[in-house]
Amino acid sequence: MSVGGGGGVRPPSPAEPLDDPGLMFRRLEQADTDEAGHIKELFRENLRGPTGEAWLLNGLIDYYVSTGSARCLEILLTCGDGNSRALIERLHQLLKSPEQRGAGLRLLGYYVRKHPVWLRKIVTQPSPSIVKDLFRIIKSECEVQCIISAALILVILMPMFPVALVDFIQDLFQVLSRLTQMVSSPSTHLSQTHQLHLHVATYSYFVRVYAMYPCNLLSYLRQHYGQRDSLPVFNRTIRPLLQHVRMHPLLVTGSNSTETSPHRWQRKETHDIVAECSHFSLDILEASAMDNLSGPLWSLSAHDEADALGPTDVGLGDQEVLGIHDILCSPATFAARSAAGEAEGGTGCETAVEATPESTPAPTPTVTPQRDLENPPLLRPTSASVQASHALAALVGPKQTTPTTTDSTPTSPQKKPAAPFRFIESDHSQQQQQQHPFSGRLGQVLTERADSGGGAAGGGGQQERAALVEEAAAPAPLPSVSGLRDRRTSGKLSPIKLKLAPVVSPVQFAEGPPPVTRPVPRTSGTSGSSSASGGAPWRGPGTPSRPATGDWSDGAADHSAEDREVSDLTRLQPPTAATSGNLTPFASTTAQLTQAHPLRLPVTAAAAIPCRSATGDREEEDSPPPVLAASLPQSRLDFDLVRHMTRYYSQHVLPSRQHRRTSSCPDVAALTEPAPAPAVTPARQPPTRRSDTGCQTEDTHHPSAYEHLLTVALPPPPAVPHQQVTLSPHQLLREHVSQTMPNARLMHELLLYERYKREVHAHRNRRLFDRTRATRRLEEENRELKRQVEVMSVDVAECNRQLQLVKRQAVRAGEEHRAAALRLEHRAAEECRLREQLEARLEEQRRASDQLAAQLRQQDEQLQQARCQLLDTERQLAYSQEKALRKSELEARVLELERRLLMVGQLRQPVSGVAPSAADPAAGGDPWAQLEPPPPPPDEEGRRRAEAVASGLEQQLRDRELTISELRRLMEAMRVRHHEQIQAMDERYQAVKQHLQMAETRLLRVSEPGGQRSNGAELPAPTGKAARADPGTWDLRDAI
Amino acid sequence: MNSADERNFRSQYYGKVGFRRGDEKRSLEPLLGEVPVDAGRLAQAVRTALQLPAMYRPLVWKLLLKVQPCHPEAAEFVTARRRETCDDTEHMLRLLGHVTDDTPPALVHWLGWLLNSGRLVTMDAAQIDDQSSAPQLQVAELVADLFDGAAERCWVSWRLWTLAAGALKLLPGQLPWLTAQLEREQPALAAHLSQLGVLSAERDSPLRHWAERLFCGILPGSSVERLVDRLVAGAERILPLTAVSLLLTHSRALMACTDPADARRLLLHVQPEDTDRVFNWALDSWTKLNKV
Repeated sequence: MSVGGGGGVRPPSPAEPLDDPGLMFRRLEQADTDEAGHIKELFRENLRGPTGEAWLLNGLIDYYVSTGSARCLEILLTCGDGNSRALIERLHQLLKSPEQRGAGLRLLGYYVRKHPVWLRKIVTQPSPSIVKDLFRIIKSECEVQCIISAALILVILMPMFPVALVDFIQDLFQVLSRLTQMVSSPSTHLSQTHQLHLHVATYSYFVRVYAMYPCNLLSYLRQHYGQRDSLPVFNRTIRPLLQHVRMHPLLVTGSNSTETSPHRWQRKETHDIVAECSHFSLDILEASAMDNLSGPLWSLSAHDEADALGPTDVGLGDQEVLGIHDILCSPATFAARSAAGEAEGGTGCETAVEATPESTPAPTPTVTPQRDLENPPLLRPTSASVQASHALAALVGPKQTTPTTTDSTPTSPQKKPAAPFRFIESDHSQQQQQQHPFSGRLGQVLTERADSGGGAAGGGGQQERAALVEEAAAPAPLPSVSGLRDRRTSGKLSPIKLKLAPVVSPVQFAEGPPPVTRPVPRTSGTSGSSSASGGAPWRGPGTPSRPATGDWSDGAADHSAEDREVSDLTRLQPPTAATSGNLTPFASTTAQLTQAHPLRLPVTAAAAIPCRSATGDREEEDSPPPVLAASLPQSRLDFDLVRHMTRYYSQHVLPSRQHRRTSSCPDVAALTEPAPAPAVTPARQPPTRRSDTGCQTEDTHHPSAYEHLLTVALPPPPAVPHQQVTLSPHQLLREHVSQTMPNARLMHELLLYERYKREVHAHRNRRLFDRTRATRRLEEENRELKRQVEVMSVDVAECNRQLQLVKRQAVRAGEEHRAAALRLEHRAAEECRLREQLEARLEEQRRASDQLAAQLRQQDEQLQQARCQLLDTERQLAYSQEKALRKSELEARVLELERRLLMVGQLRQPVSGVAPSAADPAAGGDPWAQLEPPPPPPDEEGRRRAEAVASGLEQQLRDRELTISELRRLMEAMRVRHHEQIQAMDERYQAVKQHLQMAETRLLRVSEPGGQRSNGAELPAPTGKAARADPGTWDLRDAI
Repeated sequence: MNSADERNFRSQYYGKVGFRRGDEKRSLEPLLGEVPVDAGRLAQAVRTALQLPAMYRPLVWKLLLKVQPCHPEAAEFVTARRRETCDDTEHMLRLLGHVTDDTPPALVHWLGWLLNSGRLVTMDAAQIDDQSSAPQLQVAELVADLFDGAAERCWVSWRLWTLAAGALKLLPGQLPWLTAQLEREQPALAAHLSQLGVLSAERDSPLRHWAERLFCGILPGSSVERLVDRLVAGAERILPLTAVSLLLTHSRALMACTDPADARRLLLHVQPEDTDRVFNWALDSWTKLNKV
């Protein structure tokens, strides 16, 4: 894409070294983006040297200053780290030269907003000091544009380097004096646009200075405006500003030295300071940047408050604006301030949305009461809204006031009021409400619908019609749908959504279903152009006779005519119903298309302004907001522009696409260059519109605070649109661009400033979101831990229960143990008793054994006696035998004697006569001596006598033999008897011995522990069976 | 004597008919009338006598068993000692807890014999309890039928048990002789019984079973008495011969048995017959053997 002079298409040349900068610059600007990227990379490679290519840098800067090339700017912004000194010197030179001062400020602004590492040098570096250059510019420069740029740069720089800028604090205050002076006493040649910008810059600057150095500021003010004669100046310049900032706590707690001490900013980052500064602004929109913290709660409360106001909800923004208007004491600045504040609020909010797409941070309720306390002064009497309308009238011009008021409400059906800055609409609605409150409200709604319908017709898409039909088919879900879509953006939007329902529902109840009124504008569009109702989409950006434009041109003629038209439309319900009935076929054809994008229809209509072609391909690519398109020269563009802008005022809370605008910003700068007319052809228009549509799917209805400045920046149209039809549109565009270029440049500056603020807020919001996420994670963890604690407590309860159970069991077991012990004790006692019994029995056994022993002894004694008797008997026997022996000897002797006697007798017979006397002495003496002499021969008498003696002797012998035999027999009998007795005794003795042995054995078994076991069964009981039958004794024995 | 017997027609007649007791009574009376009684002669007379008169049987048994002394003057003393021994034994048994008032006298006598013979010391309680079903108790019952006095019963029983014990001790040595007798009578039966292993002196063998109860319950009471007559007279071989006779009596049933267990069961549960046929055969054999 070509921008400015370098836009010509050149044949691609092969890669060359960087020794030909001209060629390289040309190649840089060629259409091939890849090649251009390559060239950019080449430039960066050369600039990235350790010392940097100073000449190349200077060349690039020169090239940028001369051409304003965006790609060159990209290169410049990415370099500079290595050669910051050269860059600063070059910037210093630029700022010094009056011709290039604007471009230098622009470049400096880019650098400052980019906040590179070396940016600190422009504040801390003693020479060349860019800050001093800025101060000098503001103090001494007469060109308002440069002053505004420099002031905005200072506003940006202040939170970045709060400590370093303390050295220049007096300069800061002097700059403030200069600015307020310029604001309060504007020079006559200063245009309203410039005044507006100046107001914005001054207020921002003042708020920043006041929030950062309040004590020093007050002391400075006291010092400079302390004199009585300077009091009017103070009242005129400073006091309005002072009245609309919040009381700074440091005024009470701090001092000049503490607030400038480095410790104050030690823990704060840039975005913290920016947020804090915005917090001190009493302007609700300026301070609403803080509402990102409060989130939906504040939004809800604000919504409630607005609901409580009832029909005056629209006037809320009105009154806020009025406050600011009072501060600045200028109708024009009122609008600027309101828009700027709105931009701050809205953009901050939306930045928060972009930063935290999933969820909004938790609300901090402490903000809400502050807000509630601060709101009341903003709720001024409604008469101020008239003033507001006058202000807008002054902004737009008397000629456009009427159409603007009618167009002030154009919003998409979903994007309903709830915008604090719909002051123009509120003006209109209040006028209506004065006549008839409800009809005024209804008229407001109707105009909105009508505008949407007109926009749809102006957009020329079947999508719009289909959307209308769809809405007509399903009116009720609309608020919810819008709410759903709005919720995606921010908590700030929720009041809008909530406010939508009460606005719509009365219309439904009082006037019938709103969709019925929907087609009205479309029918009017149809009346303006049959092609729209005929189904042929409106095409061709150059066709001036498009229905919407015609409609609005008609409507712009007269405000009362618009009112009449609205009332007519409300009365024309049956035809519109019929028309809607006719429209139903479109629903079938375009339902899918429209269903996806019901919200962006009006914007599509606005974006479909033919002037968009003038923005060129770059705009198509970057999808800028339609506002930029509206700033292009076209004969009827002003109307569309004003309508568009005011509609944005009513939609200031709608989501924006900050990044899109970021890329579009250079294009605004590029607008200063004459756009090539051939680039715009009717044939290329539809793709343009498509791309816009595509952009709007991402919610590009961004109400920018500076958009209203466009209307101011735009000079009145050079001629009546209808009269300009003869002129070439490109000529018109070129003329318009040349006229609006300075304003556009200012706009661009302001845009960049606002964008920077949004980025800062986005940064802050990301930080906050991170913190919130961490907090939420901690909460989740806490909840999880609590849940675990609950589970653990349940477990603990279970454990306690089991413990109780175990304790009870233990107690039971203890009782059982005790019972068992008791039982065992009883048993032990019993067994002791048994043992005693056993011992008694044992004693008894011992006694028995003693008895047995005694018996044994007795038996022994008896045995001894028996033996004695036996011995006695034997001795008697021996004696008897001896006696028998002696008896036999005696017998033998007797026999011998008898024989001798016989022999003697026989001898005596012959000798008897001879020696009778001799036989006598022989008889008494030795027989053998008697026998020695031969016996005398026996005579017969002697023989007889001898025979008698012999027979007697024999008889004696036989007797004796008989006696002996008898004695023997007796002896034998005696022997037998005694033998038997002895045998019996012996047997008895054996038996007793066995008994004793048995008793001793048993006693031994009883005594020894091992033996008791085997034989003890017989002991305790009379019989073994009885003993065995008693198990207790067995146990006892086992126990023993 | 044989000549005299042959001459005595009546006695021969009686003997043939089966009543041969007149001679014994007459022959016994002088023996018993002696003071002191000659035990040897008495035993000889009893051994040779066909049948001992029942009226003299207790006296003869007591004399032969030396329960009663042969000398009458010693009888008092000996009887007193016997009684004392019986009383001491019973007292001892009661003291030991083996005997109560309910214990049958036979068991008391048996336990007393065990005690006095030194067997009870080595027995444990279970064995002592098992003695209530001892086979020797039948002998005591037999004695109880014949004798009146407790001391006499006791001592006669003790003597008989001592005899039986001696016979049992001799039984293993008599086995070959017994087998020979059996083979002489009936070789097939002897071979069969040898094959079955019935003829042994083991603890549960039929021979031991018979011997330890002196065929009480196996043979009729009269046969047992006559057997004991011979036994107390010192004819130990009458026991194997009686066993051989019993085996021969049941030879047919034994030949039918092929299982030693069956044969053993058959012999252990012989039902006593009413006749003295078995013992007569044994007595005849014994007489023949002694004659030879």
